[in-house]
Amino acid sequence: MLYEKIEFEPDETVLITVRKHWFVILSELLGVFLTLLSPFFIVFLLAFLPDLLPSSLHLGTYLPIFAFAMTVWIIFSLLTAFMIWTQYYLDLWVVTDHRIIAVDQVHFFNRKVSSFRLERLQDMKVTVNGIIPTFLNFGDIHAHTAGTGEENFSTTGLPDPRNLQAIIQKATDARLKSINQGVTGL
Amino acid sequence: MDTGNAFSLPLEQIVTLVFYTTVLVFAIFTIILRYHWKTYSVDDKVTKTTLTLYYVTTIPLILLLSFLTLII
Repeated sequence: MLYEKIEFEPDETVLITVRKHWFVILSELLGVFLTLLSPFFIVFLLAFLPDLLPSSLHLGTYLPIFAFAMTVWIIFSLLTAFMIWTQYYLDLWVVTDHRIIAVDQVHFFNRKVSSFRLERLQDMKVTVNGIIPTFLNFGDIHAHTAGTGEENFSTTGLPDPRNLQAIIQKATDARLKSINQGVTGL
Repeated sequence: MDTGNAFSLPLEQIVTLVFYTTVLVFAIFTIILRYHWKTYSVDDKVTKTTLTLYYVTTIPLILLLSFLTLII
């Protein structure tokens, strides 16, 4: 499991785990569903419009072959759907009170795990662009961090991005406060 | 002029070839999918549900495909 691989610090607490908005996966799965239905539509069309078929070809004669081709089609559509679901579920942001861990599951063989400490967070930008993202409240977050090599983290299609930004800002303030207290307390 | 049989495979052979290819792709995909869920998931319950759903939906289709391959 992923949490066993992330070595949390002793006093580190997970504040929120965020995945992309449900609309993102729904739109992708809808595409697969329509692709899955397309051979049924063709068979339906041929069954009701037999004039489209050559006179020598009878649908009933080739039924096992049609069934075979459609089964192969459904299997591959299902594999695609499970691949989309896996990429959706394994792509996430884990926000703790010390850092943000961004897991970017691009596809099965492309996985990026980035982690940056909250005290290094310099700027955070939220973008909600378009009619559907505005009504369903999802958008992109770009986090800009300070360091020797300046880094940027960004994820698209996150639900309620303004609330996530508020949670991260609050956690950053608390983190900076605790670090400053530690420094002045020495 | 006969050009229809320049390259032809019997239908049974094509079906068998497609069947074995599909089974091979399915087997490799299953290994990769299982590995990802077992390694990177953060919720045991979701992992079990996903993998159960995967097997429940795909294995009957593979069995149906085997049956169709036999009867064609």
